Amino acid sequence: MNEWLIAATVLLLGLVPCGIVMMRGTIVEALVALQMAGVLETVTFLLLAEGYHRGPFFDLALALALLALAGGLVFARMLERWV
Amino acid sequence: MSASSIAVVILLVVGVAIELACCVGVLVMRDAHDKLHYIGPASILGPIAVAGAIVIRESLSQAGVKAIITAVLLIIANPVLTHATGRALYIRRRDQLEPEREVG
Amino acid sequence: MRAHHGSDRDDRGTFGRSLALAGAWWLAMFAGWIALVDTIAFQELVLGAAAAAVAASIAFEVHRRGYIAFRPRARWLAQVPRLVWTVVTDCVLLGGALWRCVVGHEAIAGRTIRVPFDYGSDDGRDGARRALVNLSVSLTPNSFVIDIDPEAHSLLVHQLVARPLDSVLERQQSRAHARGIEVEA
Repeated sequence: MNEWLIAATVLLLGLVPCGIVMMRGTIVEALVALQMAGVLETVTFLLLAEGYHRGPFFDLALALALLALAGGLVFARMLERWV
Repeated sequence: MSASSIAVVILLVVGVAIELACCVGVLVMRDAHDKLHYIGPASILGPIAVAGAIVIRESLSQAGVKAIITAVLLIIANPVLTHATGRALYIRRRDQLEPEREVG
Repeated sequence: MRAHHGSDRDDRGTFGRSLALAGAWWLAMFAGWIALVDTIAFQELVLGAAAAAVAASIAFEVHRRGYIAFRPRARWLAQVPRLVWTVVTDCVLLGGALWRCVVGHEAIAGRTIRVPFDYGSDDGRDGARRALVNLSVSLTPNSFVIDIDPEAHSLLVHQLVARPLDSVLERQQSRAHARGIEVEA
């Protein structure tokens, strides 16, 4: 266990308030919480990549950042009128 | 403990604290528009702190470069997503798909 | 004869600009590939060059068809230091609001304001101005753009903590006022 893995573990606690908002909030509030969770998990992947000293894990963080952007835009567009 | 190790720990503590505080902000703010604001610091300061810690440890190796690219991506993506989500909520309220949240 | 020569010169100029644009895209894509793979092995260079050529071709075709009109001014970069400072101060503002909410049990409610904004035309310059204004206002944590209204010539902006307009919004408001655009409160 090193400082990077400890930081990643502590950061996972942030998913609890995001999950509460997703379950109890309106659909748009849930999207906001989902975007927050996406940022949280991208940073967590960076910490895990450094903690495990695995270069390919950095690609996971990069891919998640890109996909969270694309997915968030699709959700926002759908929520404008269709859901 | 060397100076760089101390700097890494400080940046990690600051980065994690900012992220968790922003999660609390998303939870406690009452309106979706108000919650959106807290994704800002989480997308800017948190990734900068963590990427900074990685660069101190790894310098500008592949790991450091990818951490910087990821942080830049998060910083640029945040205003795009924030605007899109804020606009979606505004249209839903205007078209009465979603009621205004009363504050009090 | 002279008109024919002039037309030849125009064609060569256009071809030269197109070549420079395609080359710039290829270089940027190739540099990104090298940064991500972090090796200069021959196979990677060849693969990277090929992938960059595909990406640059798509980017060039999008540009040629005019799907995205984006022509910013270099002098707009002068706004970046003030933008960075606003990001920092806004983070402090949001921290204060969160503290007042959690510890002080104060009800925090943002506000929506309408700022006069010269929408402009659909050319690359005004398109870039609209995009970068939206990006810079939404980048600062205390505010984001909800909507740009072309008919009402206004920006709908949400602020969490009520503050005077930042430098970007002030400039756009001044520009709108100079063009006689006013917005009812």
